[in-house]
Amino acid sequence: MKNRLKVLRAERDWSQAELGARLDVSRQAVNAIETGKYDPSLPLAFRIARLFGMTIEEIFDDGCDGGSHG
Amino acid sequence: MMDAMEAVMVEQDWQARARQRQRRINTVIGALFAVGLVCGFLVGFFEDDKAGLVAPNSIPPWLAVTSAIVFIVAVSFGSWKLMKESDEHERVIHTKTTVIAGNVMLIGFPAWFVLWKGGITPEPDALWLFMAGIISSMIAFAWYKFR
Repeated sequence: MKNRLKVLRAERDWSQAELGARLDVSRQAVNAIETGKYDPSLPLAFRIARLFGMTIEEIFDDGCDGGSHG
Repeated sequence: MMDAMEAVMVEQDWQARARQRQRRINTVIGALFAVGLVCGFLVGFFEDDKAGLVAPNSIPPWLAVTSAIVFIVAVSFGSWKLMKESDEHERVIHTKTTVIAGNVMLIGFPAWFVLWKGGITPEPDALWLFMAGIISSMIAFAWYKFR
């Protein structure tokens, strides 16, 4: 899943290890999320969103166009 | 708004948590390594020198039972502890590699068994199947971890 994690991390001048430590995950997990090889669980996605003060949708893009339902 | 002192404390907090987590992981791995080293030394010390590498009855029964119990307890507890300390990404990798190893053995044995029944291969060997499972899990782990 595409995401803006790398950009948001760079804006704060954090290394992958620093971001991982702030999220209680490994540096490899951060790298895997940034490169789209791993999609975080819901709790981790919420922690990421809270850390950056944004919504999950503002950080992650599942590629589906938004649309009204019903 | 957080003042400078609070900001420093928050900074140190996540750094300390990261160090503590890594220390816990290293402790579990170190303990498992030490247990394996001691068991390996004892087996080597008491092994019958005249017996072959995979020959039966080459170590005393008390050592065989003790080693088996220690192995089961150490690996079970160590695996549980490592899964607790691992992050979700690491847990997914460990789960996938375990499934792959299991499938290699679950698929490999019936295939080998049928071929043996047809007179094409020797009888299935547990040691070879176990090694195939171990090697496939190591390859899978390396793939998922470092790709």
